[in-house]
Amino acid sequence: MSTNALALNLDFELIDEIIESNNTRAVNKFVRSHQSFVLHTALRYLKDYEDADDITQEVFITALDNLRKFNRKSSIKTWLYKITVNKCKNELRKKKFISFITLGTSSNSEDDNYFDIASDEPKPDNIIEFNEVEKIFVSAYNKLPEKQRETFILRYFDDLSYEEISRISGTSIGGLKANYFQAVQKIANELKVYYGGK
Amino acid sequence: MSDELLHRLEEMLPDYLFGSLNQEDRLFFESNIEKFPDLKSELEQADEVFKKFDKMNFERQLDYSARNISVKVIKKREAKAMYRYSSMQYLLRYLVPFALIIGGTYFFMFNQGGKNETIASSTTNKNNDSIFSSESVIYQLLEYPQEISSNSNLSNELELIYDEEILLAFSGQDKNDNLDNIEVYDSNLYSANKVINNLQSLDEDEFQNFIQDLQHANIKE
Repeated sequence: MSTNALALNLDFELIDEIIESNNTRAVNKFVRSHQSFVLHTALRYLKDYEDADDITQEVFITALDNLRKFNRKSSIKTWLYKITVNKCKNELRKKKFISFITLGTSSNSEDDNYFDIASDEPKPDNIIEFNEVEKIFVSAYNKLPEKQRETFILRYFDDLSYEEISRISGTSIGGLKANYFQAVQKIANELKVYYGGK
Repeated sequence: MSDELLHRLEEMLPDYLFGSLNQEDRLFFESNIEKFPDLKSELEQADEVFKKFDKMNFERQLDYSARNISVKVIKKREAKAMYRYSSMQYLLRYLVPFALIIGGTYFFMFNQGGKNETIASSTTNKNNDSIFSSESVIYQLLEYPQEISSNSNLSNELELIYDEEILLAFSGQDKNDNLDNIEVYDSNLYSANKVINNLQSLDEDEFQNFIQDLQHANIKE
């Protein structure tokens, strides 16, 4: 059995346990094994740690309440990703509406830095403190077009297969491979500039 | 062919770089990359810079920032369950009794209305002159005790209403016109109370029979 198939099987066993007994230990294990993935995805969309943290919790509550509806044709990661993206899009729509009502006083914009890493304001404990290389890295992949960024993160960080990414994004596998190559090329160039200046 | 191969190698490059290619693809990539020096140079540079980026540390940071999420999720779910439970409690404590009171009141009013209507209509059906209401029966019983008690058409229920003592009292009232007014009044009141009590002690069938008999007995006011 491949590593992926084994992981999928373990996920399904955990899901069965939650459905049957709603066991706290199983719930804890389930959330822990996917929390970084969901948080990372939410951060990518919302670009604000507090919002992403709230949405991540909502995603898991929705997922746990609807585990019986999960059809197991895809991996649990794919399913969680779809829930996360939907919730993030709703949140962004809500924010846009609020900012429209309050005459555009919202602080979030497309140019905001991922994780708010440039801010000098005091941050809560959970805010991620990246080192310089990591900041360059994050900044580099934030500059990527959406499709390339999505493909890069899902493949590089979340280890999703091209088939899974294709199901999520609706892009062909050939298109995803091309996106991934261009994303890696651009990030490598950014990092090269950074290291070249050192 | 060369463009196609280049395109294929480009697509394989990131997975080769991060060690995600299977053995067959990896061997294919390695055996062909030499044909494209620019791509090979690109691969080497990318390899160099990506090696400096500590992916593990980056992921650790993410894991660290997400570390409390499971606890928060469990707490939120518990709070949600508690809210559902307390909503049910609220429903049971306030809404259900309220609904019962409303329902009970409605039922009582509806039922009473129905009863009144039945009695009224039955009374009307029995006698179009409407003299056989409860008040008129009592009135007749008190006003014409002699006539009623001596009427042979009336049934045995009369014995339950007029006992000897009452009839004596009523007749005494007739015979002792010269007695003290207070005494007569007391005697009359006592008898009237007894008649009413006796009337109330009849069950529904007895009462209905009696009313019918009284109606047919044709007692004149």
